[in-house]
Amino acid sequence: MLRVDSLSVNYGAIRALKDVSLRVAPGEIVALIGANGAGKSTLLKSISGIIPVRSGNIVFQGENITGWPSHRIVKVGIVQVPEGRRIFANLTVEENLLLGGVALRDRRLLKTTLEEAYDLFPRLRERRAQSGGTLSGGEQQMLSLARGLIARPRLLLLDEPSLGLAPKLVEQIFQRIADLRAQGLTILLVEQNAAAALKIADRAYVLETGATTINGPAADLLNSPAVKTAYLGV
Amino acid sequence: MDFAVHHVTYVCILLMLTGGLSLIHGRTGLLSIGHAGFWAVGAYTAGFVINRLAPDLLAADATAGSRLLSVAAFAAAVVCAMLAASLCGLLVGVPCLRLRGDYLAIATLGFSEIIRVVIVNAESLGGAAGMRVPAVVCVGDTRRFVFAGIAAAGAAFSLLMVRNLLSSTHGRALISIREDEVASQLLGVNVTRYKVVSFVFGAALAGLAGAVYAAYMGYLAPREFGFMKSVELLLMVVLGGIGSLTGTVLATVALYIIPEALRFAEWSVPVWSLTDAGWRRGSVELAELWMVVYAIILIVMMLLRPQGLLGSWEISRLWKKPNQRPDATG
Amino acid sequence: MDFFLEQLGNGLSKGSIFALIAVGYTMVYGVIRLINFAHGEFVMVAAFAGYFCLGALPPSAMPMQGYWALGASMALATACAVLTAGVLAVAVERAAYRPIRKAGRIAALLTAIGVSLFLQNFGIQVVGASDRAFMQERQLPRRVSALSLYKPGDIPPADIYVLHEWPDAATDLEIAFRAGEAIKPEDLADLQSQGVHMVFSLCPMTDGLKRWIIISALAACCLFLHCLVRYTAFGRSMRAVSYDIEGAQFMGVNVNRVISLTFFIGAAIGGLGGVLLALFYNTLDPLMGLIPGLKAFIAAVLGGIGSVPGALLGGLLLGVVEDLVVAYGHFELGSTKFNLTTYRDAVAYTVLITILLLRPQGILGRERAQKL
Ligand SMILES: Nc1ncnc2c1ncn2[C@@H]1O[C@H](COP(=O)(O)OP(=O)(O)OP(=O)(O)O)[C@@H](O)[C@H]1O
Ligand SMILES: [Mg+2]
Repeated sequence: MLRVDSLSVNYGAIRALKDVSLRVAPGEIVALIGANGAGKSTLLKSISGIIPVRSGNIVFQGENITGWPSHRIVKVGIVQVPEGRRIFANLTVEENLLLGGVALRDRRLLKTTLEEAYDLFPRLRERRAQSGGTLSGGEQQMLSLARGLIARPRLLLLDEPSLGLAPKLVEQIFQRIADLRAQGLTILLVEQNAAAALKIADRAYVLETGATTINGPAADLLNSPAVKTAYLGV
Repeated sequence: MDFAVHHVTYVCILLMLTGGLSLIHGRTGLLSIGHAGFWAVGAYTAGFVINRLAPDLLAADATAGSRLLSVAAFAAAVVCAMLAASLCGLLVGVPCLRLRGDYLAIATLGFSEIIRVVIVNAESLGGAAGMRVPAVVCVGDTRRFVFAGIAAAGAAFSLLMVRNLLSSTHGRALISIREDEVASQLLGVNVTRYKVVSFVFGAALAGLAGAVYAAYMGYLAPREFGFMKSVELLLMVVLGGIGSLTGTVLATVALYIIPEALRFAEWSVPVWSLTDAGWRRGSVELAELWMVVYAIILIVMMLLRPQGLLGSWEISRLWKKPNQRPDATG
Repeated sequence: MDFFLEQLGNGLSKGSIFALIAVGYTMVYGVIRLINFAHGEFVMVAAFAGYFCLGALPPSAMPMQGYWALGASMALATACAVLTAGVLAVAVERAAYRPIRKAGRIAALLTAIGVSLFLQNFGIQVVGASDRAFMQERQLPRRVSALSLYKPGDIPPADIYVLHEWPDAATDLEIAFRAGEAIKPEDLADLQSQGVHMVFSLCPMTDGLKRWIIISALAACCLFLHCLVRYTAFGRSMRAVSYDIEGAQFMGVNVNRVISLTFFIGAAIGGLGGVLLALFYNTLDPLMGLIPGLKAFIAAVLGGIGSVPGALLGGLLLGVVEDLVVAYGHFELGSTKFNLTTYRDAVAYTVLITILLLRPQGILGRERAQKL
């Protein structure tokens, strides 16, 4: 479904990604783990077309989307739930959700997906008229996730969805992610919480200072000694 | 020949202004689009002082004593002008420098416009009609040479002071502010103090320029000190290279000479103009198009080379060893 | 009291114009943090577009009569002005601002100053530096009537002119009877002997009428902007871009298009302001955008830059304050006499510096932490 071929990305003179390759098959959850500053967010942002690619290719469903502007990428069905939630505090909860659907042309479809999102997260319906900035951290994460789903993505890129949440909420979020996959959504998941991510993922990649070092079935990585010592804290 | 001397004097006055502005803008990243305001303060202070101290010391039958007195009056005018301008710099600088770059720019613009309105309305300063400044220092044929010398000395003084200020540790602190204000604050650089000092110093040099201008021209008109003048000065600093004194000097000279040369050349170019009756073909002298060209140069420069022609290159690099570069940035 | 109301009305109409121009500054600053120095020149270009459109299609050439013709002609001129300003702004954004969007605020401000200088001086080259009357008397709409309706001894309330041909837009005005003077029998007979059958009077643009036009234009724009910003997808996207550009990109917002449209709308409303400015003072020249532009910018800062209601409020406030200072600026404190009436232009700048020092975020603006 998504194929990233030897991708390199620079920030000015600093190379953030070098020759990263990655595959995501339809219906999979692929986890991407790595230390802080390894380049995980950079990879997701370049897939979303937010930072320019220096070399390499990104192919989505057979179409080469390298260098496309971000709004076209959202239109073809790659939606990212960004790191740090990025809720618009000057918009209400409902406006935040509607903004997630800017790529949708069809007004009626937008209405129904909005209702679906409210059904999925009833908490948000209660707070629809409230400013996005006044939500609690957990509610904001839900809003961010719900907003990502509004556009009916085919591939969801999740950047650290568990960041800053209490363990109970983390569990809930991972449950939601598993549910979404069960409904047929393909997911590329970036996580600091490597253990939890590897448990729900099918396959996983480890990113180290801008390059992929290990990849394979998630279960194998969960048991691999190298991954265990470096990322699982065992 | 006479004309050449006039141009030299004028360029030297401009150099005092752009040198100070280069210190303010080039080295701290602060943008002042009201520099002509400080110039006006200097010029009118000097004009006022000269009018008070030396109304007509240099009449045809002037004695040696009154000649000496007129030189003293000019010196007093220079000192007062510099003090007044730096006081204004302090007045604007202290409260405004905590504003962000673009806001500061607008605040300086507001300040200089206030100065202009006050001058236009002040009867003791001649109002809109302008102010006459009696001759000081000397009269007669040698006058323009004497003033060319004074202006050149003033320009040399200004540029040397700016250069020294920049290559000292102080200057390094200023550059670090330009590169990253927050970081230099964390490193213990007293950012506000450095900003205020460079601002006040730049203003004082503008005051000096004003005093020389007032005494040389003998007449001050408020419209000379308007917003457009500030923009012109700023362009000289920006085009030459933000942070390069060499660039500032070159750009000042070039941007002064080019329109003068065009006027001299009297080239005409065809233009279309729009009248009430429709489009009409005509021709205009290239010198009159200069401001249009000027604006295009500025825009193209920003698009292609926002750091200015020379960037932060200094001519002194030609003879300094590489490791002694005063502003080698990482 | 009448004097006060008069001043207030004057201040409000000038303030409304500031407000209309200020909207463009605030919208653009809101989305890309650029002080668009060239905005005042967009206003100027719009006024000229309106002027030339009015010259080509004056009220006297409209198929209607009287004030209907004036309204139709003004509407056409305004539409032309608004479109011109919008298109110009989009072109300038595309050519000059977009390429340097990441180069920092100072570079952007300098580019904007460059564009402003360019438009001013290019304008001087194209249309000349001298000022023109926006609406000339012979363009004013006419109310035609038959000469036979006038009897000796009638006192016409306005000047009556001879109509030579029907319709005649171009000929100069030839007076038949003067306003306020009783019609003499011999004048009437003289005209009849010349074969004149029709006469007309002009529908003048009075100050009161201008005031109503300006204030209702502002009200209409307020309503339009409110609906646009609050209830449309574009408004949502615009607010999102102004809060967090990258965040908006994640959502799939076409940021470039939002910015272009913001420039378009801001300049279009400024263009309306330009036509009204030319109408209010009945004059226009290539430098006319500079001072009102600066004052409108000050109004935007006063209201809170980035906030559309702030710009509207700031504009009105600034207009009123300026006029009141001028109207009531001469007073005595103890034995010293103060006369501020000639300091009109300093008022705005003083307001600017005061607000920057005391409350840089403006009246309605929200404080925003500097991004580290
Ligand atoms: N805008 C930027 N400009 C310059 N360098 C950047 C920028 N964004 C990220 N970097 C650098 O690129 C590298 C990779 O950053 P990235 O955000 O992709 O890391 P990450 O793997 O997502 O880390 P984390 O787990 O902390 O989110 C880091 O060294 C970072 O400092
Ligand atoms: Mg990250």
